[in-house]
Amino acid sequence: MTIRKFTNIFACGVALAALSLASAWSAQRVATYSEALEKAGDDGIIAYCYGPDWNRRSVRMLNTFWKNPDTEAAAGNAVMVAIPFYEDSNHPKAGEAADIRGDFPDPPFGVCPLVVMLDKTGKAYAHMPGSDYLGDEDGEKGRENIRNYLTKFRKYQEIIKKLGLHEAGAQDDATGSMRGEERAKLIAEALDLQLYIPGGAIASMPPHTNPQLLKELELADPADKTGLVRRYKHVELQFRYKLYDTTDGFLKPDFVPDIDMIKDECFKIIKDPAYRPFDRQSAYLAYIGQARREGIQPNQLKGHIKKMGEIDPNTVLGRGAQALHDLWGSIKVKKTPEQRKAARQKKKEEAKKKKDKKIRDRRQNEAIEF
Amino acid sequence: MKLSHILLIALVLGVVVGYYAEPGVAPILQALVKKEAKPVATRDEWDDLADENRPDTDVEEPKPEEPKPDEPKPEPEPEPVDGFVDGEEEGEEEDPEGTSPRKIKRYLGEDDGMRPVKEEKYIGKITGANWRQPAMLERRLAGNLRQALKKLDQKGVAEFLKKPENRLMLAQWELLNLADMDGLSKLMKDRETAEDLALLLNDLPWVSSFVYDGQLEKPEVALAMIRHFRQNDPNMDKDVLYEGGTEDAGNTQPGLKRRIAAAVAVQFTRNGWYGDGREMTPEEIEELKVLGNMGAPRRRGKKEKPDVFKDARERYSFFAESADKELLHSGFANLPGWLMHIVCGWKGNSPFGTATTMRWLRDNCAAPAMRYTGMAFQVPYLPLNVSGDVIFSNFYYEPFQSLYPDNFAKMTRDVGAVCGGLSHFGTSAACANGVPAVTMGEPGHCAYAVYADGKWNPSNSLSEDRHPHWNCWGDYSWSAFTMMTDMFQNGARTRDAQMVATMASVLAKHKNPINALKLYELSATMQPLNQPIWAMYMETAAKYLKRQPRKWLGVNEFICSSVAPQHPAMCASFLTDNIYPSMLATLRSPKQKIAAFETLFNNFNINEKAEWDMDKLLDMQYASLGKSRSLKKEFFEDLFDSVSKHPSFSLAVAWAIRTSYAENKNFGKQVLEMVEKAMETCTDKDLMVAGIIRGAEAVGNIELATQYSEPYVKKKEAEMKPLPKFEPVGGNLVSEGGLVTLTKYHPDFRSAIYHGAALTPAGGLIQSDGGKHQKVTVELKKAATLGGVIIIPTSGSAAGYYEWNLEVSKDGKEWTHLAKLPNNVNGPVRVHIKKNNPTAKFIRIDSGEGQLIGINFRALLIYDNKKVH
Repeated sequence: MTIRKFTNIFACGVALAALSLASAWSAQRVATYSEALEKAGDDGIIAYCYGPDWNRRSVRMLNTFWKNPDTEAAAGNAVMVAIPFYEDSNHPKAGEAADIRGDFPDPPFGVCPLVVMLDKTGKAYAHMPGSDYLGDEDGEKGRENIRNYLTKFRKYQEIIKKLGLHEAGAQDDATGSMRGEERAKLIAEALDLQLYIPGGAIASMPPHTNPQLLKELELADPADKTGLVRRYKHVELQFRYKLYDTTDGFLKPDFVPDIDMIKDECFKIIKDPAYRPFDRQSAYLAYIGQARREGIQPNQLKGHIKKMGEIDPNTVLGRGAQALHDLWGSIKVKKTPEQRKAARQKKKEEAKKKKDKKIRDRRQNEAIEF
Repeated sequence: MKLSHILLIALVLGVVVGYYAEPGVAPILQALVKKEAKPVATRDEWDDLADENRPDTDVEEPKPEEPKPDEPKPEPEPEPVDGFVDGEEEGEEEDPEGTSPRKIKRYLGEDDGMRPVKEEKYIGKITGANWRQPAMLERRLAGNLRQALKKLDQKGVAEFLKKPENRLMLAQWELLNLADMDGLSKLMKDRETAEDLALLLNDLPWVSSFVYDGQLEKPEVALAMIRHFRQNDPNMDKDVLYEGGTEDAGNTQPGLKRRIAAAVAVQFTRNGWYGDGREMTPEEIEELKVLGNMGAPRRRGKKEKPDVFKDARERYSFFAESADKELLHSGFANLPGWLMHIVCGWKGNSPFGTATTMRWLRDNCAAPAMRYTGMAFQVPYLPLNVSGDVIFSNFYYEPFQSLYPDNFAKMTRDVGAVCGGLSHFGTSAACANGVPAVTMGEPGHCAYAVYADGKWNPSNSLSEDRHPHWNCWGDYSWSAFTMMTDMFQNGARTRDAQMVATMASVLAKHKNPINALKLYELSATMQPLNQPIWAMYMETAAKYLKRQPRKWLGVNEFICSSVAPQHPAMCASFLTDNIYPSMLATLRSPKQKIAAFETLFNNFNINEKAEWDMDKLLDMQYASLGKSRSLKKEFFEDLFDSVSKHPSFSLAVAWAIRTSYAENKNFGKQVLEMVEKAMETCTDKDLMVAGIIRGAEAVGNIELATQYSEPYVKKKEAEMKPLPKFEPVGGNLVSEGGLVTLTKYHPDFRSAIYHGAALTPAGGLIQSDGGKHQKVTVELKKAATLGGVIIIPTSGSAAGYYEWNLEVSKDGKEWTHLAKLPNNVNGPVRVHIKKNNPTAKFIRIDSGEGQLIGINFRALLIYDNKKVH
């Protein structure tokens, strides 16, 4: 081997090492949240919340997860800060902890351990509480989630920049020219990233919509040519309550569900691919539920549940479809088709009677003006 | 391999090793890459931080002594001292009133008498062989105790309690006394079981907590359960601090697993939570009496028997493992026994109590104790699910249940729930993390409370009419719960008092009731907040103090001075349930009764808002006075004197007005004059007036209610901002001067003074308590043909929240539906009757089925349909 060759190899080695270090140690740790805000760049801030005087697990995870160099590597160029939350305000270190915390918001529901990912302005775009997000004490799952969220966040920022929403009034030529459908699709892409979810750490049934981006979407496609406005504007809960004529989820004592109306409304959503799969499945389930209560034959019910699951087998409802198929499909309906017809007729008559009573009441109420 | 390859590998390895090695190469390399990088703390600093909660490893606990199989005597005999039974204390004159303040003071430890004794570690010597014959053991222990007590005076009792061997003997006897001897014999028949359990039953702090920290029912079953836990966890006794283990693995307090086992077993047994995740049949529960093979699957015909202790075992394992791995809130290891019972005994029969659910809650909902008051609100409040099924149906969770096997909490959080689900989620999250919490029933609602900062903190609560779902003595009232809390918070004294009660029980069981009575008295004196002890004491007293009025007056004085100030509702309950039935029959002189009642009145001195059954107490007192008006007047005088000093007791005024007017109108007027006189010295006259108005409303006395309401119409008009503008309905105002009545008054009934004002355009206040079918009724001065109604809710509340009904009546009995109010209106509600105008004297608003929060009106204005004059 010549010396030159050796030098080349050595140089390669040094370059490789430098490259590895650059990616591994790009995140920096700071002591306080205010310092984090000062130093935060595009990758924002990643904060680890723990309870020194009440939660041993979160304290152990400082070493096993947070201090782990792999976590730094996963954190990209974000600024990392560990924030202690003392239960005992008289604890000797509670004052020091308050200085570290500064303006950092209380963890949602006080849950620790918790990783909060914030943009450089200090607005949280992702919360990762407890073992569902952080996994075991080694924190492998936590790192994976940090990586995933950071990737999403970078993409989000990229889109926001393209949209000219990164700074107030900042729309350069490239973004300014982006209008209509193209812009709407970009916004949809950002919405699908599911960041900046209102309500903090704990999200109930997905998906969620970022209200600020929704406004932008409506502006971009006011006529909803793309179908994206109705896709993201659809709020399953409101739809559900509309079907059952309720504002708070409690059915009125004299309420009789209208299966035909429910079917029409639900199938409008089910058949329109513009809606998100979960929303279409929810609409389908609303119809299935009502059909079950009306005494539909199990085979028909099974067919609908199967179709509902097939819309997207990966959503919560898609994954639960097979079990529901077996559960509700086995509900025995003892009535013959004729009996069902008669029962339906009877129900209609009862509904008519109720309606008549309502009319009578209304007449009486006509005497009354609110 | 070429040299270049070796060098390259070495270089890469060096970099990797350097990267992970700390301190050393890494900081240098780090500095090369990013100069500003600065760790928040050094490793040592982190370690210090992490070490803050480590247990003190210097603590050493003695290993329990192995029982010797040939141990002759179960317990050493206590040294005889001066006779408790044979005479009064030396140098003290007989106290004719039984429990004098001087005695009380001394017993309570302010003197040199009965000071609380802290339970110290002590291992007894009763062998497994002794436990194999529990009936014989009971007789032997009772013999020893009787022998000792024969020689004891009150000071001697204190000395007796100071010796751990005596305390152990008492706890052991109490356990045997509570056990079913047949069942216990069957359990202990197995030599290994008896010897294993003897290890626990000789451990004084453990057995004392097992017996006294909660209501121990069926101890033989609880012990069978514990034996089962021990068979499944051979490490229950291997505390790392005994074994010299490291700090990183192991629980933080010696004996913690034993305590967990006791708490789980006592609560699961008490509630009958046996089985393998399902309800057991009565036959299967009956079979539990055959204790020999409990916990082990057995054959019955071809079917496997249920694993009866599976749920309990899983609960034990959950807490034992969680404590071992230090996954619970740091306060758990130091919880006193009764709180440990609440945590470990959290609903064993609920899907919120499965091991999977609790593990998930532990790992995902760990928070500082006080934050659990908000934990419930992670769950969205959704009465109707995605398939249109209501929460009360079986179908609500079915579309999702396959996705959350056995994890009801997570499913609830993701799918939704109503008040019950929310409160169970919050409670379950707290308990799964070792923080005490209980769910509570409220009228038409479910709330919960979390124990933090040394007190119970209600959450998701709409009413003060609370009934916690956990109790010690079968009384589910909030008053009993708070009193029990106060009692256990004075743990050492409570334990001593319980042990003295055990002494009493020994004597009572062995036909020495008179001396048992003295010991019960002593026990109640030491800890007056112990409900069962009072019950036992009074049961014995009722038999043997029939002709001792002074003794009863002493009891009355004691309970009034020690319980009434902080727990008036519970004091009233003690008096009416346990004391008055005997005392009032014993006291011949009405003067004595009056004096006894005065003692109580003088001791009500706190502002307890919750309405309790004051009527029952006062009715009982009043009825005992006979027909004499002068006596009654004397009684009222004392009562009002007390109210004038403690206006929060003004509900008594309402009772007095109602009772006296109902008896005789003139007498009522005389009583009213007495109230007026008492008001002169009262610091809160408004509250007494509220009492008068409430009383007048109860007897339907419009004149009286109007007379006392009128000044407040002007006052309200002057003080309050005017009512919001509303469109008039025409006609003349007919509600003014009417009478308001409520189904259930708001606990803060002060607003009664503004009932009259609420019927005028000045505006006032009408406030009902929460719950379904709350009714606000207005009786007009005279019947009118109605033209309309204006309802003005208080700001922030809504009228017609769940479509309230407006109804009318001519006689207050037969009601006609007039209209449904529009839903959830925050501003004035205007009801204009344009035709078919009804004639009515009574108008009422019924909040109906859906209403949970109380009715809050600023005004309820009723108009006729005549031309305005």
